[in-house]
Amino acid sequence: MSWRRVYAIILRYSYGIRHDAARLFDLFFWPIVDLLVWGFLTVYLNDIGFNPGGLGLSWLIGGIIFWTLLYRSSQDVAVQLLEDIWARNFLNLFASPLRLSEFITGMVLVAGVKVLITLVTLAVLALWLYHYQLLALGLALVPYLAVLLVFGWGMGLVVSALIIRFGSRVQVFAWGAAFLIQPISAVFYPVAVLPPLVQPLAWLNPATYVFEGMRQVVLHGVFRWDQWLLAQALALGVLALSIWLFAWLFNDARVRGMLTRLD
Amino acid sequence: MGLPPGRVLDSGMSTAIRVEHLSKRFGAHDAVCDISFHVEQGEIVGLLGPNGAGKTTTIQMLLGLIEPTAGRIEVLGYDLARQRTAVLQQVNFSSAYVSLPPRLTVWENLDVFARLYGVPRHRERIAELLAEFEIAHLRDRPVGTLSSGQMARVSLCKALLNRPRVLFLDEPTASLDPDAALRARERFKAIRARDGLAILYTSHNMAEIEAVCDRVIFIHRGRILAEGSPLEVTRQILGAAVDEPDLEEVFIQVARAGEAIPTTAGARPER
Repeated sequence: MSWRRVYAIILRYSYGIRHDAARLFDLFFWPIVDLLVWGFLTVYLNDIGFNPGGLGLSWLIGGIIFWTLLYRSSQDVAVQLLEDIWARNFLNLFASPLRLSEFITGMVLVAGVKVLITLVTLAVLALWLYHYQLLALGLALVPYLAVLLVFGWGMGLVVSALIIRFGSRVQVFAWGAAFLIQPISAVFYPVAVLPPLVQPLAWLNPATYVFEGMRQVVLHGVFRWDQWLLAQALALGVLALSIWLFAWLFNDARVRGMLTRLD
Repeated sequence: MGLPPGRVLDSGMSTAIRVEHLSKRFGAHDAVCDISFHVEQGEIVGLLGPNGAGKTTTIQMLLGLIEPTAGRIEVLGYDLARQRTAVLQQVNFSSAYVSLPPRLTVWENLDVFARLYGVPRHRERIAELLAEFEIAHLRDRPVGTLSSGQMARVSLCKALLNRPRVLFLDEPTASLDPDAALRARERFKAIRARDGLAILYTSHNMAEIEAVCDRVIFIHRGRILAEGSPLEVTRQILGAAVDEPDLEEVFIQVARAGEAIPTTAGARPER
């Protein structure tokens, strides 16, 4: 692994953000719109005295911030790949000494930094507009973020692998993949409300532990390390599988001659 | 087994590209079928053939972008299958069908590729190339706002960033006007004379091939049909009585006659 080439990939996508209004919208605009919608819903529910289980409503805002981090983490990885396919730059990259591991590392690092920028923006806005303190989660914030970031990268790489295999006709998943698992992620409701048959599936989803765990921290002030470890292990498993899938389908595309026909 | 890098042949020239029994099959279709050829350091070789002949597939295999079904590729003495990074460090390419990210400026694009190739003192190198290709004034313009001719020159700057010892040019002048194309050809020859690099060149402009290439490899339906100097290839296809290279006529005859085209010396046996 050459860190010089990883840095080149980081530069490539960083330069892209600087010049592309669509990427700035992804970075700031849509997350802020989500925060405003859910924030004002929270204000409204508070005003009418809706307070389920004594939990308060601030977890709705925390939920949307955490959810935004997950889907942005996934989306950024896949959209960056698409940018090079749309620009017909993919062959330039892979006709250079760039290794697949360096490309993946560069992509996920840029996606990680972008997610952190979005996080800080949303946290400041949530504090200013709704007096919601994300930092009130204390040290639990860091391990939860790590799970969402790693899981998001994994989903993004699965989508990227599918794009390498099937081309840009499956690009819609770059934006939508995370939403496929949202119903079983316990973002705004506990797993217990899901049908019993679906609940085991929800517990296979690393994000579920984060959202359930966040509510436990708010309600009882308890951070379950065992649950977090399980979630992180699942997220790392998804990431490892996604890297394997990406490498496999990339090599398959080289064999089938599809790499040079991506559009 | 790979040869030591920079192996010297008996002729005294070192072999830049050695292709042995290379084949590529896509399903039931043989895109490239058992071709063998070599390119010496300092040589410009044209890879010709009608659309679908297998030229682009061959170049993409030489760049490691397509995995061959069979055969062996050696570039600068390195086995491409096993030493891909070492090969690609010393190789570059420019194609009319591949672009650079349009929103990045000329400088940013070249900066990214200079770092990918590990170009020493890359800022100086980029400035030198921009000056050489007379586009220094465009350095802060997004590539997407350039004319196709200007883009082609940026792509050529990218292709020369790492001072490659082997250069693949896939229709490099396709989007240039005649004057710019002429200047590009002169530039290729000057760079070859100065740096001694090997160039594998494809174009549908036969006059350009005759003007630029020392040698021509004519591919048809994935097989090498003729190989030699432009005059030798013309004679192999059109007959020994011809005394001027006429690759355009060769091209038209091959495209129209298909496999029925007669071949003489240099033709590869059918399998």
